[in-house]
Amino acid sequence: MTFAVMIFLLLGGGLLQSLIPATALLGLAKPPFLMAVSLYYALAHPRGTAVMAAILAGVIQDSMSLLPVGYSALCFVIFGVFLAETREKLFGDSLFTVAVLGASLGALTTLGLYLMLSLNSLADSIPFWWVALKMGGTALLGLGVAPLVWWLAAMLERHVGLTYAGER
Amino acid sequence: MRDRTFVLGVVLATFFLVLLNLPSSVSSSLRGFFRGGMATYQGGVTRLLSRVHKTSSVVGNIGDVIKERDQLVKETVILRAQLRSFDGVARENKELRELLDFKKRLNLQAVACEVIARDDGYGWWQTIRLDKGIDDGIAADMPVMTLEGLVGRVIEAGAQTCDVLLISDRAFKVSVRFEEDGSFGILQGGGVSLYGDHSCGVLFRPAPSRVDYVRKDLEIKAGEWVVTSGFGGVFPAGLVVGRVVRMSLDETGLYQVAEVAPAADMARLQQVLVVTGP
Repeated sequence: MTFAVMIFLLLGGGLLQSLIPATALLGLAKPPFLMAVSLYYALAHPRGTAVMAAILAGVIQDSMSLLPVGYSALCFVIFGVFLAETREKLFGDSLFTVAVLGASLGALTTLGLYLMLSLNSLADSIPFWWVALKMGGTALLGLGVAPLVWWLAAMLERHVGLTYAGER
Repeated sequence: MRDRTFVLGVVLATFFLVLLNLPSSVSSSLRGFFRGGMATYQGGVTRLLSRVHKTSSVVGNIGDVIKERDQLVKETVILRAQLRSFDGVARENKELRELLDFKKRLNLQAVACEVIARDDGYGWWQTIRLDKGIDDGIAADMPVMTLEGLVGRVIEAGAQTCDVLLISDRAFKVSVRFEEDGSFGILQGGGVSLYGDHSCGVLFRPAPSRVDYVRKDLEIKAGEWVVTSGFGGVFPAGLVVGRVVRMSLDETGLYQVAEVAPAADMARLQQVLVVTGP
């Protein structure tokens, strides 16, 4: 059931992320639904599940965009494993924490993707001021999207009889 | 515990080594699998939102609709009159085209497509996703246009969908010709404008595209049409790209820079044509 809920959240998140139009003032940043799903599993589920969610979220994001397959997955897995390892030592379980993490990871994922694109000469036409704007935009959207996805995912899991790590 | 972490690290490193170096055929299949699965829902939601938007617009602006209808009736009368006067010109034009053997190049085969999503999934590039793909004869690098002008080119095609890089994206380049002057240049997308009343809009309006390295002595005026030159083999000659909005000198002072506004309304793309062949 955990896997079914994960797939539902990932596909729903991917669909929303691709359909919601971007605005110029936020550097055409998209609401990072897939990153938020990956964040939820990193903070509330065992490490193996978190890694699987991060890989799937990344592959779906790359498939929906023109990014080479694996770029987003690599970013999500690095952040996911880091959070899964440190969540009990460093972070609480409140929506505020999730919001801050959503904003931070949104910006860092954008920076990570830009660095990978640059290393492969795929970002030559993208000026850095635009990337900075996009980082800010993704952070702002992550601030709102991450708690929303957390709340929805937790509610859905409770509804189907699952309990996430924070409640065990 | 440390051993398990080490094993997980090795497995993940191997996995990503493979994933990041997938052959393009496998990578395309993987993309196609997810895109194909999502396309139905993307199309459905887009059509639903479009209907909701149209209905709410009509209800909210009933007065404007009546005015617009009256205006359209007037325009129809004028256009019919113009059409009659263009008959002679059209005949002459046809003869000239036949004489110059241009007919073959201007009669383009095209597939009508619907826009099912805007922007790529993370907003790095300005793209649109269309509801048709390889199964309908669409392939990478095919030009995409509306009746107003060039929109972009197919950058990736799946079985049932394809992605189009818009002419407003900075990564887009096309060889163009200034219609009246006849001189050539390379047009590059201008990205998104952050200024003006449209910058807060959800659907962006593009900044003007640029044609760099235009000779200083050429007298190109604002309003002049810019069309594809046909060089490079991707775009057929004569497709309307846009109009010159401003000419200025570049930083060196040795060349002119032309700012070109796309002829197609990039913020309201709903139906487009993919040029599949001559």
